[in-house]
Amino acid sequence: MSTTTGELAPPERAAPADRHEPGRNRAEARWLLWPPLAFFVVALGVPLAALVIRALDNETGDNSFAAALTMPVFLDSLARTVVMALVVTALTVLLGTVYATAVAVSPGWLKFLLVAALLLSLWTSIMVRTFGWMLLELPRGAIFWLGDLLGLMDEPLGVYQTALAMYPAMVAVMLPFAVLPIASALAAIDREQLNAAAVFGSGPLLTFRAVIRPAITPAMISGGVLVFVMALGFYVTPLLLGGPTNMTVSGIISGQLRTAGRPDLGAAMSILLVGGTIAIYLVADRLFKVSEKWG
Amino acid sequence: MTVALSVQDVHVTLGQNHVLKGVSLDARPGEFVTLLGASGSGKSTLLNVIAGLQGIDRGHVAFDGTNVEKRPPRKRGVGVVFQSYALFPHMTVGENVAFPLRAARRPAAERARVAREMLELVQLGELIDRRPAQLSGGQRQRVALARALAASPGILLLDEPMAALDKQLREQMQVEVTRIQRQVGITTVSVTHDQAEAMTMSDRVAVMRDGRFVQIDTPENIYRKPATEYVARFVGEANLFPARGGELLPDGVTDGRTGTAVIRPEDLRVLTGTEPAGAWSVSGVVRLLSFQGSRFRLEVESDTGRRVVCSLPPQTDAATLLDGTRVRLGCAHPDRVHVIAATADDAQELVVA
Repeated sequence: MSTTTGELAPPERAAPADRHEPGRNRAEARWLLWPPLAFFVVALGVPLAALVIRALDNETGDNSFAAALTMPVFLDSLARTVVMALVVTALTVLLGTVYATAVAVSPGWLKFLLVAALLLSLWTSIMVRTFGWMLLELPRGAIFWLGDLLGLMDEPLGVYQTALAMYPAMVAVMLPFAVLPIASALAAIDREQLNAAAVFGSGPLLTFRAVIRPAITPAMISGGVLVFVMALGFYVTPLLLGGPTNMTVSGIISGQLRTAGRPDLGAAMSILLVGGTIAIYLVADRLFKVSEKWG
Repeated sequence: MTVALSVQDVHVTLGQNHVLKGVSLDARPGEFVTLLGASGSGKSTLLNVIAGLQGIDRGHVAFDGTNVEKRPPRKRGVGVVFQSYALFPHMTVGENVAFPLRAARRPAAERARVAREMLELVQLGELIDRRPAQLSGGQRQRVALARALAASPGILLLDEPMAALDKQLREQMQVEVTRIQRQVGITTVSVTHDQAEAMTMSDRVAVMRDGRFVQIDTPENIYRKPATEYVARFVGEANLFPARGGELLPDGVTDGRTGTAVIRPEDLRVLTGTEPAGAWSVSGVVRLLSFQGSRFRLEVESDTGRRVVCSLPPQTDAATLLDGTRVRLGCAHPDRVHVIAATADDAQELVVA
C-alpha cells in the first residue's frame, strides 16, 4: 500500500530529509528507561545486596549457601514447593482455559459478571482471600455449616491443615493470571476463522482442536509460566491452610529468620529461591517469549 | 456437483435495521452471479444467508429445490472465500485446503490427493508445505479458493474476493477466478462494490440498494439498459437527460417529461461548428479534459449548469479543447439511447435531477 503512494508522490516528498519521528530518537528513548531502571535498582537490587551480605556474615565461618543446600529440611521443602507449583499451574491453566472460554461465549451481562468477579478477586489482598478460604474450610466452617444444613454431613470437615485445603485456595489466587491472557487471546481470534471452520463442516470439537487451541496455546504457556513462577513464592496460603506438614520454601526461610535464629541461612535460601525463580523465568522467556505476551 | 440456487422473499433484521427487505434471486447451475452494491446495501448479509451464517426472519433459501434455511452452515455444502481469506494460520497450505475433508472425516490419503489436485487447479502445487503467513496476498486468495472448492461444494460464495489485492493483481485474479469457476462449473455468488469486477466476472449482475434488488441482468444490459437512475449512476459514468417517450428533450426543457435518457460518455461526441446538429445537442463550456490512456475524458458544463461527461478518442487534439472553450455535444448513436420511464420509485430522483 505504501508503494502505491510512493509511486504517485513526487520523489522529493517520497524521501523526507529527516527520518526521525519527533520524540523517537535514541537519546530520548534512553531517558525513558531511567525511571524503571532506578526503581528496579532500589526495589530489587538493594534488598538483594543486603541479603547477600547477610548470607555471608555468619559467626561459624561456614558457607551458608553450602549449608542450606545440604539441609534436608530445605531440600524437602524445595521439592515440595516445586511439585506444588506444578500442580497449581496445571490446575490453574486448565480451569483458566475453561473460565476464559466461558467469558468468551457468555452474553454481555454474564461476561461482565465473570470478568468483574475475576478482577475483584485479583484486587483483594491474598491475606483476605486466604482467611476467606479458612473460614470455609475450618472443621466447623461454612462448608460444614451448609453440608449440615442440607443433612449431607454429620462429622466436622477434616480438610483444614491438609494439602486438599490449600490447593483450591492457591488455584483461586492464581486464576486471574491465567484467565486474563487466555481470554485476550480468545477475543483476538478472527470471527471469520470460526465462520470458515463452520462453513467447511467442522463441529465444535474440531473447531476447538484445529482453530481455537493453536490460537490460545501461547497464552496458556505464558499464563502458566507466570503462575508457576509466582507459585514458587507461595507463603501465606500454604502456611495457613496447608499446615506445618506442607511447609513451602518461603515457610522454611521464615522459620530460619524468625525462630531458628539463623538469619544467614535464611538469607542464603532466599537468594537460592529468587535466583532459581529468575533462572526458570529467563529460560521460559527464551523458549516461549512470555514477556512479549504480557508486554 | 453443482446446484441451482433459489432465494425467495428473504427478510433479515439485525437489531433495529431491516437489512434485507424481501430479496429473491434465482441462479442456474454453473451460473456466476455478482451482488453489486454500496456498503450497507445488504449484499454481504445475503451472502451470509446463503452460507447459513446469518439466520432469516422470513423467506426461503433452496438448493436444487430443497429448502435449506434451517440447515446449519456445516451441513449446507457451500464453499466460501472469505474477505480476509480466513486461512488457518497454524496449518500448512495443504492442511488448509484439506480441512473440509478432514471435517468430513475422509481418509488421509484422499485428503492429500485432493489437496494436491486443488492446488494444481489454482497453480500453487509447489507451495503445499508453506504456512499462510509465508504467502503473498494473491497466493493466499488462491489457497482460499482451493479450500473452498476442496469438498466439491454445490455452491461457491465469494465475499469481496478482490478487496485485499492491489489493482493490477486484482485484474489478473478476476480472470483467473473466472477461469477456475468455468472449469469447475460451480454455481457462484460473489459480492463486490467494484462495478468493473462485477462486469468482468459475472454472467449476471444483481444490483442491490437498501436491502432490495434494483436490477438483475447481464452485465451488458445493466450498463446499456439500467432499470433506474441509481443503476445508471452506480455502474459506469452516465449522463442523464430528460426525455419524452423515446425522444430526448432539449437541454433545460422539462415540460412533458416522461422519463430519463441515459447517454454513456462514449455515445457523445463533439460537434464541429460547420457540422449541422442532429436532432439533439447540448452546448456548454469545457471544464476539464484529462487523458486516460485509451481515451480522453471531457467534462463539460452545459448552459443550464448540468455536468456532462464525454469520451473522446485518444488521438484527439487536446489544444482545441482548452478550459473554457465553448463546445456543442451531439449524440453519436441516437438509436442506443436508453430511456428510463419515470416510475413511482424514481419520482423523487427525477425532481432532484
